[in-house]
Amino acid sequence: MKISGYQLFWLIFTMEFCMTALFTISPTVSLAKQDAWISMIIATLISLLVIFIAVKLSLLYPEKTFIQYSQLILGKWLGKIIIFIYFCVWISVIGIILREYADFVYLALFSSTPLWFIILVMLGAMVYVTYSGGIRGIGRCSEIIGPVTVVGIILIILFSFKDWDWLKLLPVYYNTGYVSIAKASLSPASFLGESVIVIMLISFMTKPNQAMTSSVLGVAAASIAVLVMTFIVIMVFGPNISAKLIYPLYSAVTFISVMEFIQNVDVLAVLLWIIGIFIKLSLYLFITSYGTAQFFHIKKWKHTIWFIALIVFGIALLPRSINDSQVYAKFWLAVILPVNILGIPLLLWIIGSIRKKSILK
Amino acid sequence: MINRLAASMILILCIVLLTGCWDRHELSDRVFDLAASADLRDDGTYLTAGQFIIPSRIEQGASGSEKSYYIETGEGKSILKSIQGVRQKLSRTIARGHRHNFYIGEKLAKNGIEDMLDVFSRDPGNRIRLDIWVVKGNTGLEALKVLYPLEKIPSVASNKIYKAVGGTVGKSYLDFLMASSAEGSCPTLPVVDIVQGASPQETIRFYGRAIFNHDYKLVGYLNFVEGAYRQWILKGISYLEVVEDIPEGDGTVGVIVTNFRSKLKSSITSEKKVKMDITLSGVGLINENNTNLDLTQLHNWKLVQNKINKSNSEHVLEMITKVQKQYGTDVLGFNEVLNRQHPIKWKELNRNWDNIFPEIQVTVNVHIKLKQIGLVGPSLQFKEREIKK
Repeated sequence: MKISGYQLFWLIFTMEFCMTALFTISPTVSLAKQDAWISMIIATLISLLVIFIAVKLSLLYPEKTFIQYSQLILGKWLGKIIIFIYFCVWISVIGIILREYADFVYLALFSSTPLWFIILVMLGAMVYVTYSGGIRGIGRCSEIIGPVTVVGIILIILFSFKDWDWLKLLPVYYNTGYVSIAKASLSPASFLGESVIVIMLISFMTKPNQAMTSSVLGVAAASIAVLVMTFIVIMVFGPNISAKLIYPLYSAVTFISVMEFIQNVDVLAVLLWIIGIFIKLSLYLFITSYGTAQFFHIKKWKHTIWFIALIVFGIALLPRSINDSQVYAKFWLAVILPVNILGIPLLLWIIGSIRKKSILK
Repeated sequence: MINRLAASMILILCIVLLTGCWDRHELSDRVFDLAASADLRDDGTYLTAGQFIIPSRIEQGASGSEKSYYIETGEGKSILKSIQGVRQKLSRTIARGHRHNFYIGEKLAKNGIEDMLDVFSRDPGNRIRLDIWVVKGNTGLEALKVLYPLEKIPSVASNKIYKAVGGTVGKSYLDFLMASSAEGSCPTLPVVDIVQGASPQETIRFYGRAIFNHDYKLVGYLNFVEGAYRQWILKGISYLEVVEDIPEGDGTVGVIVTNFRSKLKSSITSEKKVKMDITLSGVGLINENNTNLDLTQLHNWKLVQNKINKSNSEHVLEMITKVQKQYGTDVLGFNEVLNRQHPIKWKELNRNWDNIFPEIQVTVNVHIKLKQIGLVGPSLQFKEREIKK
């Protein structure tokens, strides 16, 4: 089971772009108004820092996954506690993403299909690709899905071009101020920072020396795509309306009308988004099940998939309404972004490099 | 071998299962409404109506006099409630993906449309690309009932007229929302009215623009030309005819204007008075010359151009003064211009904008460049001695 640098790039790009573009534009615009693009750039810088730390950390032990080297760096027990925290985060985030995905599909496409069925279909696809192909299968999927997503992005840009009103971006800065711009950048940063899962992926690379370029480029490309989408949303709807829409990008796509001929293309956007979510969920499922197997020293890691699939299915059905999953998003922002995405990897990297140096001496 | 057989069996089974989806939105269970209307009844409830396509008559093509649509109505204390009333009479569920027009009766518009706007954006089945029309002096239902001979589905007409006369179609709902959610500005909607056509039946006419106040209540109208001038300021126009008197030539000259540009420059004087300089420019094609002037002569050409620009500047200013003094509602985007050009001072101004707006000193400069005079120099019907060189 190996992946190339090219595959890692597409994995990160697809996984980052789809969710971020759909879920973070609205909260960002509601705080930073027409300056949301500045917040997006700040978020990009934060996520580039995250990926830099994560890759540096993993390259300390390029042959080992996070599960193995965190126990090497911190010692057996402290390492185990940290890994346990990460397991909780990963399993819960799979459940919540599944639910958010199902809620959106339910609203946009299938309003009389039971929610559990929408979840089950996606879960089936995830389990299939993880079970049969592992990380290699997911990587190959992303090699196809990623470019398709890029084509979708380009089409959205072209189709919405005539509805752009550049004046909606003005005045820059004066209506908001640095406090709200900085605050607004946290929400997209918390989504883009999910690229931290490369700590589990780099040990699968054929050439670990490509890891840094691929992952930084992947994060940068996804961030630029999200930035462009933010511009489009603001230029089409203006800051006040975009802030009130729950899925502003989706609304912007439904607004597309080219020569009254190309209309109602929102199904295309939903489709792109679903396959992007599929990559993200499969990645999370893979690292969780593979990590669990390593943690408990289970020989056949694939057996853990079934167990984890069952748990995430249960978690996905837990929230009573869309408000409950937003509570989780707030928790993610307040706790997981500073601790799991930035704090722990940074700490491990510092301790790990000190240890390595002292061993060399 | 058996494995491969099982795999192909499963694949074939997949084809059977995947073709239909759980939701089963069959076309024969749906009805498309192309336009709808809302009115306020005397007892304070809403009356909504939809213009629904009859699929069997559309398919037959242009065969005979049978209408390819019909209208159904419902009543209730909110829009959704009245739609429920419509649904009680429909054998199919309503699909709104192709609805582009929504008519509002004048009475409802005057009473305020705040309570009915939300339903358009909340339901994902609705399109944001929607034109909401105020029906001047009549009800929305009457506008739906008008037979329009050129179009198979008559409600398409208002949209197409709007486009044909040079307006921006499909953005009036979004513009309404953006104007009402921004600080200071007031929303507007396009207007149609129902007039007696040349044929025995009534026809629909594009009238102009309706002005709403901050409480989403209709306060007044701009007529066709005034509305066009407003769109010129806001860069939402592509075609306009202007006809002005030329006393020197003892007649009128008509010009078709295209290539519209507008530039708004605001300034704030030391006494905190706001000034607005508006420069409107465009390219003119002379389409009608009822004067005795020979337009191939440069000085005549200049004379006509100056006269047209001067008169148009006055007309635009009249329109702006009407909006300022009579309605007192900022529907000209001045608030955004100030926010863009003086963002710091705007923070003080915007709280008091409704009082400041009517007092803004506006100057208007129209620069239409005449580029074409058509196929003839002086008008052909004149005798040689009547023509002023």
